[in-house]
Amino acid sequence: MTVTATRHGQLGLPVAVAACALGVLGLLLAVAGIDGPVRTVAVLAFSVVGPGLTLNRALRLDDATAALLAAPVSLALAAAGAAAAFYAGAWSPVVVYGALVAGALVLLAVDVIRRR
Amino acid sequence: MPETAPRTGAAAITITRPTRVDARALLASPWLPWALQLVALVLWVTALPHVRVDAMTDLGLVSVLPARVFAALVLLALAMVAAVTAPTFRPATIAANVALFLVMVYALPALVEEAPRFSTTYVHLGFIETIERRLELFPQIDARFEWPVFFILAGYLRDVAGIADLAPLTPWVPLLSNVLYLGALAVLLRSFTTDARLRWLACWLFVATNWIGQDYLSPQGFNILLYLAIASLVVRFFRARAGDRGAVAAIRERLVRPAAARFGAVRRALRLRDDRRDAAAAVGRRTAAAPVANLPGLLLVVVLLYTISTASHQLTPFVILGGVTALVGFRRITPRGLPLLLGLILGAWLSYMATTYLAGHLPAIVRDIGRADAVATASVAERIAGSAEHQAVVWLRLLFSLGVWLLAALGVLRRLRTGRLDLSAILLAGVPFLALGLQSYGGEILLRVYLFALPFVAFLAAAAFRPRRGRWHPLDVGSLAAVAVALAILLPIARYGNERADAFTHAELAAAELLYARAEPGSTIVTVNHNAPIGYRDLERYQYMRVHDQVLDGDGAAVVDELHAVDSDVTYLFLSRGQLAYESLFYELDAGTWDDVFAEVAAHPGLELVHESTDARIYRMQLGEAGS
Repeated sequence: MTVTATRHGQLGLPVAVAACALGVLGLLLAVAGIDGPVRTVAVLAFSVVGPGLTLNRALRLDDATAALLAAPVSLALAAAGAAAAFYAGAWSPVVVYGALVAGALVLLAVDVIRRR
Repeated sequence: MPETAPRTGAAAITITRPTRVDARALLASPWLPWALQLVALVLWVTALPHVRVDAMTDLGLVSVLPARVFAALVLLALAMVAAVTAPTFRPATIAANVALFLVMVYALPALVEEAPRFSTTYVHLGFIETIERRLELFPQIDARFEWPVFFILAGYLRDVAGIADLAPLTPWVPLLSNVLYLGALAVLLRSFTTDARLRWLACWLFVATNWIGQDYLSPQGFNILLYLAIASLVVRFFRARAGDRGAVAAIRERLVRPAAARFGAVRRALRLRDDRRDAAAAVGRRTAAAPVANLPGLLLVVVLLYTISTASHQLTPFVILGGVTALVGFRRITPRGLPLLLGLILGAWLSYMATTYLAGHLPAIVRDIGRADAVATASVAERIAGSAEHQAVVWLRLLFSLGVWLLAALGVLRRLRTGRLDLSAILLAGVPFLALGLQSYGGEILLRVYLFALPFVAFLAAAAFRPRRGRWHPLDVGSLAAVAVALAILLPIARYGNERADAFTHAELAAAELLYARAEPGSTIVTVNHNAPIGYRDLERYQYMRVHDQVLDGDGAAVVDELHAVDSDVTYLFLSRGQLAYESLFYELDAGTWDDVFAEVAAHPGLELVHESTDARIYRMQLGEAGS
């Protein structure tokens, strides 16, 4: 079962890279325990865009669709990670966030390698 | 234009007429929408400082909005019409228009009100705080603990983002939610049509008709996003091939052709265009040398989205399941086993994770099944109550909703006349109405039906003005302008019609803070109704009770009896402006009766006044000191 998808555009990759960079920045600040607007913006921006955008691109959605559906997929992934930690009795938001950042970086690397 | 007069002598006289402004060229100018939008923004910004929320009447926020706000919205509506009907379509113009409309309507309370609105927002903050602090669920306190994933997600984000208090951010959630909805809606609309003007018009209509207001910090607001994402993915990437025979063929033969014949469009009806062709065109338009989408992976994403929906909201998973089943049943999408899979996920959650709620409420849940007419009547009749101004707002909402649905029906007919059957959109717009036959949802089911159908209804309503690509008919432009202006004026009235009760003040919040700082764990907090900014922390540490019926009866002694009957040593009676506004708005209780009741209560010897401000009072009563 396959569907022909549209071409990847030019803007999607830089946005994904920027989202992942914000994710890493947010992770560093969270691990260091530094509060403030920079951490809030970095974490929220990554959480709403990063995981979903990199996954959608890995699934070869076209550029626009990958971007437009980044938020619901990102939030669903974050919800799944947080709920899994909660029900497993291993509640640690920073660990869940770190796993999402790591996952997004792996998907981004796959995306970049596939294009070369 | 210079004109030379007839020669009458040696000298020729030249008469110069003033240059005429070419109205048609002006209307077609790409700068016109931008100019209108700029003026609208200036009007709106300069009007905001003049909004006096404390002078609000039962008409809601509209009663204190300066005329300039409405002038701004009307200009914005006209700018949208100019942008969408311009000879050269510029998406950036209408994108800016939609963005401005979102800010001007959806961010309005955040900018003019003192505190986060909606008492339910505070309760949701309480779920988030309690779950994060205790790392356990309390379904015996509230059923929503059995669908906790939205609250877990919010707690996770709060923690990792280092946000000390979520409350100040909540007024901006409706704006953010609708931006995210529009993203998923855009994908969905690309599956319905390749006409960019129609898509943008549908987006504008979506934001201009979303009066329900469920887009605040809530599981249902989050679930609308999941619903749109699932619908987008399945309709766009799992479409059945055009020409697949099935129920759609039967519908076309039995319903569409005779209907089209009545409109004198037999030939066009015989060539009815399958909406799956539009979806195919939308997906395959730019397919040269493109990689293929990973459909198994996308199916897993759909399952993930649905699982999160199932674990975070009671109603939405049923609507999604119904929509997917209808699409499969009418062969709009290919994964025929998907409804079964989604049904298993839903059944598993209800069987294993929501047992406490189901054990206690099963009779109430099944009671409404098959009583669609009674449910619909109750949902409408029970809402047409309260003060005269509030009833006017309720009637406006009903007519507003009916008008939007009628526009959508007109859109279906006009598309049929041009030979297009938008069956996927029609099915997804229609399926939520089946919920009327299943649940009253506390009298809110009609609101939810409107909301779940709205994305698809907005597309069909847009098609009423633009049934096909090509030049705009002047009649369509005129009617679109009239409808757009009407919606721009009516939306704030319908959306913020309960604002006198929904809004809270600094004084009420300060009183709530003081209440929690003082109240001993295990004590009971008594209010007249739910409409107070409380419950945002320590949900499991207090019991809550209401004395709405006693107050409505004007019986102060009965209120005191209730305070005696509580199952705790200490009781706090929390009275606030919002509770009185709620009673006044929905039950026509006058301030005099309220004052009389609580003067009688305050005279009780066991009651101690511990806080009094302009908008709130708190009494404390300890068992044993209460007197008889």
